[in-house]
Order: sequence, then C-alpha cells, then structure tokens
Amino acid sequence: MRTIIAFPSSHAAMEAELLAEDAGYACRLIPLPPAIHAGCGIVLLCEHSVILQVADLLAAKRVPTDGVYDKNGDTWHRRLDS
Amino acid sequence: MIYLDQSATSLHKPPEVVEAVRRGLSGEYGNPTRGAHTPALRALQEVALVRRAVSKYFDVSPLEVAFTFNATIALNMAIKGALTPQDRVLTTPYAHNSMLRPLYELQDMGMRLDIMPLDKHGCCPIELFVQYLHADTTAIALNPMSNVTGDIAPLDDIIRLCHQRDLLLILDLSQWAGTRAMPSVAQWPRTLIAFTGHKSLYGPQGTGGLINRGNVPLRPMISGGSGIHSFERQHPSTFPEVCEAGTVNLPGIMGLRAGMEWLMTTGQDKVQQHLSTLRERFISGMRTIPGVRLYGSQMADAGPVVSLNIGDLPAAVISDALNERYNIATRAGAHCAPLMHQALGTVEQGTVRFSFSFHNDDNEIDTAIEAIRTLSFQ
Repeated sequence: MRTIIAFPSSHAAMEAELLAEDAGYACRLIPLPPAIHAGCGIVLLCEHSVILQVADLLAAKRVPTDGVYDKNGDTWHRRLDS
Repeated sequence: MIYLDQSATSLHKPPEVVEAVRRGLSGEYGNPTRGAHTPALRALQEVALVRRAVSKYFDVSPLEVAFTFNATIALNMAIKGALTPQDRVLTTPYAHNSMLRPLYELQDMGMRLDIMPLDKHGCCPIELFVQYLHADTTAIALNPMSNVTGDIAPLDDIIRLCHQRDLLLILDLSQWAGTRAMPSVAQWPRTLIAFTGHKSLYGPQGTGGLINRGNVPLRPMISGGSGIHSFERQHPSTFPEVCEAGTVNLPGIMGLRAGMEWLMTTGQDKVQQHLSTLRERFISGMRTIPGVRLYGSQMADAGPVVSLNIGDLPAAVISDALNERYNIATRAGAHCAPLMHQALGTVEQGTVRFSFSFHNDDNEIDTAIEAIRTLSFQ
C-alpha cells in the first residue's frame, strides 16, 4: 500500500522530507497524484509502517500538512484522523 | 584599501560564500518551487537548508523564515502587510529610511505615528519607550542599532514590553544581525524581523529576509507566481509564500547560508569581541585628536560603528580625502537616517562614518587614526 502526506506549500513539503530524513525514515517527495487536491504539487511518500510516526514528528515540529492518504487499488483515501 | 564601511556592505566575503554562489550557478539547480523533477527538488532542498541555517541563527522555526531581496523589501512587506491606517505605531530616531518611509506612507493614509526623542546621551532607554506609549499604541517599529552612531536600544526590555502590552514588534536587524547574538528572552511577542544578508552575515547583495514569529497575518505586497493555488485570483496569504512571489535568488541565498555558517563556526561572541576591540581602539585614538567631534553616547556595548566630524569641515570632504590620500573607505553624509541627524545637529554637515568588520585589524585602525590626525591639522 502506498501512503503519502500532502502539504499546503512546497516549503512545508521539503522541510518535512528533511525532518523525516533526519529521523531516519525513508521518505521521498513525489508529484501530487491527480486525484488528490492539495495546495502544493508535491507530496511525501512514506512507508506505510512509519506514516503515523512521521505525521507525529511533523505535528511536533509544527509543519503544516494537508492530510494523509492511502492508496487502495486505484483509489486514494484520506485518513479520517489526518 | 582599508575598508571601513561594513555598515553599507561587507566587502570581503569568506571564500565559502563565493564557492556557494558558484555552485548555485553550476547548472545543477532548477526552479525550487516549480515542478517536482530532480533539478527542481534539488533546488527546493537547497532553499530548505538555507531556511534552516537562518532559523538556527535567529533561533526560530524554518517555516517562520521568508526570503526577500534585501531588508528594505522585508520592512515594506512587514509594515504595509501587517499595519493598517487604524494602527498607532511608536518608533525612534534610530530608524532608517527603509523603515521610516513605509511608516510615513501609512501615516499619510491615517495611521498615527509617534516618534520618541533621544535622551541627552543620544540613547533611547526603556523609560522613554514606556513614556511615549499610548493606550491605543498597537506596534513598535524599531531599529535597535543606530547605523549612524552604533548606539543600541535595550532590545531585551523592549521585547518584554511588547509581550506585556501585546504590541506587534517590527525589527530592523540590518545593522544588528551578525554583530551580536539575538537577545535571549523567555517569551517573544508577535514579531516581524527584517534582516539583510550582505552586511555582517557576509552573504551576497540581493539577499535578506523576513522572519515571522507568532504567525502575524500579512497581506501580500507583491503578487505573482507562488507554485501553489494557481487557480486562485489572489496571492496566497500563507507564510512564507506571502513574501516570496516569483523565483527566489537561489545562488544568492546559497551564499547567504555559507556566510551564516562561517559566522556560526567562527563564533558570534568572538566576532562581537573583535568588533568591540576595534571600536574601542578607534575611539581611544580619536579622543587624542583635537578638533574631532564624536557622536552618540559612545557606550561600551555599542555596535561597530563610529560617526565623527573634524571641526566644521563637511563630512564629504573628510571622507573623500581619506579615500583619495589614504585609500581608506568610509561613508559620508546622512546614511539614510534623517531623524538621527536632526537629533545630532548634523543635517547640514553630515558625519563621516567608520564601521568595522571581522576582517579589519589593529593596524588598519591605527592607520585610520593617523590619517584623521593628519587631516585634523590641515
């Protein structure tokens, strides 16, 4: 399963990638999937198993996000708690 | 050349700065906020790393930092973006025209502007700030280090005062940044901090920024491409995008990062001590020369700036003689600080300003002292 975090700005997305990298999480920036609407055209792709830790890290560092999305089949689903 | 005009710009940059700018122009970097291909993301990462360096130096969060092309643009964005004609603002004679002129524009639209005087020593103690605050004052706009005399305002106390009174604080750190550390206070008020990259942060010209502590709402002063929300008619109001319309000066801010990292590696305290020693040596020398008039309080902890005149000679004549005869670069005139010259009584004469950098040494100071001594007897 693919899991991404969307952002309101590219600066927030890049700061998120740096923070994740600093913390040892293997995440990378990819273009925003067309099915998702977010302010910024890039999203952070993370391993499904670490997404909650990364999301918590970003919240602790006050990096604004536009939601966490899981891809199931061909469809992206926004997590209700994100 | 003995360069004593650091307050205008730093002439000598660390080699790391030159190398960083060269690297920024090397063909590796795309547009940092336009697209998600490798060169664009590489550029975006560089921008993020510069933001981190700036945030580390100023002890703020990276996303509280926006890049502008100089402090003047940052101050215009802060003043015109945060204030309205309904505000009432207090400022001091230390203010540079980059702060005064935007304030005057708002004053012409109805904003009330109070300008406190200096005390008899040429200083602005906290008691004067308290005295000149009104019940409806909403903001203090402050240059905490005079670019004419080097005198400093009690920034720690002013920060606390703004926090206590819930005042917006707009700071011009063009002279302060790089010459001494930021104040260490427990709680900051809502604060907009303008800085320039090319003076004592040793970056290239065309760099600077605005720091937004406390998420102060800003209206965009310049609108355009932001890389986000492309179908909206208005420029985003989110920070830092609200201040970063168009493409950032990537090679420039890469140089700025190198300058700031050089500064932090060298040590801000070490830099401040060196600057203080140079200033004290210069002032001690000037006090031995008859006819030299020093301006400002000459307080021990002032910034690395000294203004003087010789008798009634126009400042421009002295500065020109220093340049032509002794190959010493100083600045004469008003230094874009009209209220200071009104306070000092030097509107007509101007002053000769000497400002020091970490790259100056005792021999250069002594040469400048002897040059002034010779000129004073002619």
